[in-house]
Amino acid sequence: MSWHNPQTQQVRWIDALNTGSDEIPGHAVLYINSAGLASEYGADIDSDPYVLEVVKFTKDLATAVSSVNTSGPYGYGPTCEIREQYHDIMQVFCVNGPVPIPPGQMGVVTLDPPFIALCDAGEIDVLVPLADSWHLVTPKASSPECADPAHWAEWFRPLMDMRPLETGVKPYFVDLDSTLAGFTGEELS
Amino acid sequence: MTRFDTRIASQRWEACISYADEEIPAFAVVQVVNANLIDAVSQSLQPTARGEPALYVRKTVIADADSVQLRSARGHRFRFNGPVPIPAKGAGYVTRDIPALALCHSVRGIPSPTTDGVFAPIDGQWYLEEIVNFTGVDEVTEFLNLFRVAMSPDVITNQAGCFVRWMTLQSVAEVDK
Repeated sequence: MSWHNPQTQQVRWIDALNTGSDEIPGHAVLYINSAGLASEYGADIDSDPYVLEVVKFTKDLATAVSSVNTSGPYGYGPTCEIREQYHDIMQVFCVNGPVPIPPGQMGVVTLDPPFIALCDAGEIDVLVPLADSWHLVTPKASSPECADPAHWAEWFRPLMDMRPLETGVKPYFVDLDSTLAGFTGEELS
Repeated sequence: MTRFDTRIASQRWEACISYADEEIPAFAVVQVVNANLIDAVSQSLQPTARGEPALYVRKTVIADADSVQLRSARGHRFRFNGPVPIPAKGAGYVTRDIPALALCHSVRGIPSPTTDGVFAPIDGQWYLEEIVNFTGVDEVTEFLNLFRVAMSPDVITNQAGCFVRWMTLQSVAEVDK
């Protein structure tokens, strides 16, 4: 094997079981709930591999992004009272490959950014998973008080629009990002 | 028996296009700006890579370098070039898989894995610079993605004053001690 194979050949694709009741769309953003042998989840397959249990990210799984009635971690900025809709640790998420996963069936997912993930193209900046959806959103679009990236430990940032002619929720090539010392925002020009 | 090793073939290599007006040295640290389809940029990467996104990379730029230059390691935005230099505005392959061979520099000379040196990308350089003191920095937690030497392979570089080491991540908490 050459050391410079196309990157998709070197992304780690992991078996995953859809334990939910909805079909997982291609490139969907998924919460990693647990893991175990496929048979432990009732999967009817010949082999019995270890699989990730992936589920839709819900409000029950979300974390508060900032304490209500306190300012940001640097002593300034607006308060962020929007809770239980987002998550600020991106590495608990994975994304589906391009093939949808029906309920109760297995597919493959990856935790290795950069990867292609569904995003709401309405406004693309700091991207985080939105509860009860399969995609990433920019919080400022729906909740301006949460727009300050200082509220987020980690987020995704867009590198490329995979379908520039389309609108709405569509695939983007995104990378992991984070900060402890503020956000520059200058890279997206 | 399953064999594990640290060959570069086991690392994930991401296609990239250079924004730089100069050649990117082998094992240089680069900063990711954005991406585009390889087909759209007419570069001569592996034919099998066509249709995939390629990262656009440049020399490290720290936007708030005027505050503390060494406050520079911003999370996940950095990659390391492979053993092949990337021509100006040319194409190549970079990795984020740690440990990785990286171009390093230190005013204290060449370190070894037994030293406690910590390294970080700095503004305007292709290499990781050893942080020799934290003067002017409020706290170590202002850094992300610090690096330390994991191994000392005999890799030759023609970059003046630099050396190449197999680098891994350094815990901020560990440095804070």
